[in-house]
Amino acid sequence: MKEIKLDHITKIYGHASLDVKITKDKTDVILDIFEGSRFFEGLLRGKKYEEASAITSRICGICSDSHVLTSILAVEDALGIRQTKQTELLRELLVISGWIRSHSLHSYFLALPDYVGAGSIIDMAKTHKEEVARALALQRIGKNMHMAIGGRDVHTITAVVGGFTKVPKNEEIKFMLKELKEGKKLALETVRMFSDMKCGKFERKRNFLSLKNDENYAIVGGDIDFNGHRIEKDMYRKHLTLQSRENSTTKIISFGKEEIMTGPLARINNNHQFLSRGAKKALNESGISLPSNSPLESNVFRAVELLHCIDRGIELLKSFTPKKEEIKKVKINGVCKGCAVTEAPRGVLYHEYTIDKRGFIRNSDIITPTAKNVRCIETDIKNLLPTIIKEQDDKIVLELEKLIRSFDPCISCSTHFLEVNWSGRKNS
Amino acid sequence: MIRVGIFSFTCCEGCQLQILDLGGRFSELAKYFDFQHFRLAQEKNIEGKFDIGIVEGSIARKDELEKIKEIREKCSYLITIGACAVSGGVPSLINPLKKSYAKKPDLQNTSSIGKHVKVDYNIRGCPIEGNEFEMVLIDYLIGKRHGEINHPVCVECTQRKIDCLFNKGLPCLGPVTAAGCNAQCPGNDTACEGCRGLIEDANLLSYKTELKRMGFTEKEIKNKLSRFSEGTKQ
Repeated sequence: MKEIKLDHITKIYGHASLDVKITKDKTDVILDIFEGSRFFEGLLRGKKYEEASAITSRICGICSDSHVLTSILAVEDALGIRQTKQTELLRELLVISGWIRSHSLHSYFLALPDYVGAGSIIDMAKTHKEEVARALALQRIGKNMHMAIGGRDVHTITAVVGGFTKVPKNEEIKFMLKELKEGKKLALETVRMFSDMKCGKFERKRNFLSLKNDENYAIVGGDIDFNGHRIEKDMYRKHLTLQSRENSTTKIISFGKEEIMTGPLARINNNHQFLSRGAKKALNESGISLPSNSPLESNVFRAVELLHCIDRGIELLKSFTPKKEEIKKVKINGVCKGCAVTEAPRGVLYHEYTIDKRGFIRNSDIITPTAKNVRCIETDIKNLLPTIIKEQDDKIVLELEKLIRSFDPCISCSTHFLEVNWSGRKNS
Repeated sequence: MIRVGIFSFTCCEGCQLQILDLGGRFSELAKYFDFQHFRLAQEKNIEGKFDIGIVEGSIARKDELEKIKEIREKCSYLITIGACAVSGGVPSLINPLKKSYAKKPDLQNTSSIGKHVKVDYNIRGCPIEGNEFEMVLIDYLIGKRHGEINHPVCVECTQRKIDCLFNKGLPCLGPVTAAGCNAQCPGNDTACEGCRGLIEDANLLSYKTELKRMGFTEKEIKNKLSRFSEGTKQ
């Protein structure tokens, strides 16, 4: 028997370890999550509807904007609030700024060191000056954009139910445009860097889950696409099954009984025709043929999405003249329920709330991308192992880590669940 | 070189993100501080003794409790970063209900670091300010130690000439919350949410009376005051 144990995997968000046991007959793989439960659905109970976005923002530092936006959209869905064009635009810009930050952070700080043989980006400061400079510039661009729209660098304060407490000034719009134009070149270089790196291929048939609409690269709004089947957002939750595991603080999520893969690979496969012109061209030049079934290619796809987000940001900002708008007034006509789905940097994110007639949250349900990917990561490891098992131990570990990191798992996100008996839950 | 270890417990890791986000300024710090343990950023992490331990997150599990005691032993100077570590933060909001949900590895209450071990300095906020983090490390380097900020956010609003949101009828927590954020939320026309915790001599009685007069219910006021701190004296 061979046993591989990765205690406390580095360079991912949150706390997880990997346990692999290989015997003659079978391979057992457990991605063990040992982060404290935070029971977000429990602690939201009895809070006012307007507090939900600020509280759920704290599920995750790196994709807080996605939680904020999904939460606001779900509450507005419940309360029947329709948004102005300007608010919709600002929200998309906010999420884009979060994506720029998240994708550039993952690409350079968490993934790249594996491919250049360094332990961390700190070690790369002397050996890879150009790459490090590019990483810091992209980070800065995302952060500044986030400050201008969201008001703070992490955990947005301006985006609330009903609109924005503050809109960016004209000079801030100009500044963002200038920076994004600079970022375009850097993002393209990022795509080329990962394309040239030959991240390897590891193929297996997968069930892709992403948002989809007929107009654009779906990040906010649209239906859900699972393996080519379109599902309306209101019906989505019924298809998901949640499974507990002993001593683990995350839930394993499946689509019916099927394993799910969500994130950049699913999005590019399903929605590549809606990428910006520049991103499409860069994707073509990468030489990857679609659909891709190799998670390792997510590294390239993430960079392609980074470029797309920058292009989309420029497109939205170019013709934008911000004006002060009042926050929409809320009227509650009794108990109501609403939900929303968006694409977070790591995949499809779902929030659902039931609100009572005084505006207090009665129930909530939050389903994060990483919880959906856990099963897929484990099966991938099982399948990858036989191909590398003859290598030296440290090489095996590196390959496993590369695979895990290519999903950009966010363990913090996956461990927010409330421990309730889901099987007894009504889906109405 | 000053040996530094950065450790993370139950939280969103947004404070570590603020450290990574220092970018070029982090590289400057790395000239004087040897970040020997920083799991989010690097492959090799040493478990040895440290001059400074930096701790993010709250203590929610039994193994976390053992780990923080171990870390305290190893570090000469212990700094907590962010609301979760300083006062329990958002994860501790579950405490009144946790008993009925918690599984085997969980503690009955999710709590701050200071509840279990001695802390030498608290960097407040949800998330922390990168500038403040940098300043605290540089101060350590030059041997300067200082007390924590204990004046309300109102002082910073006045300095920045921000129109008072509380006077406009918004439930701003500025009058009772510790400053240090440069009044970031009021500066964005948003009421302070109290992420840096209460000042020592906060006049809660009078604050709550005012909020009630503005039409907020007891429950709403309690929710607002407790978002970032377990068992806040109310």
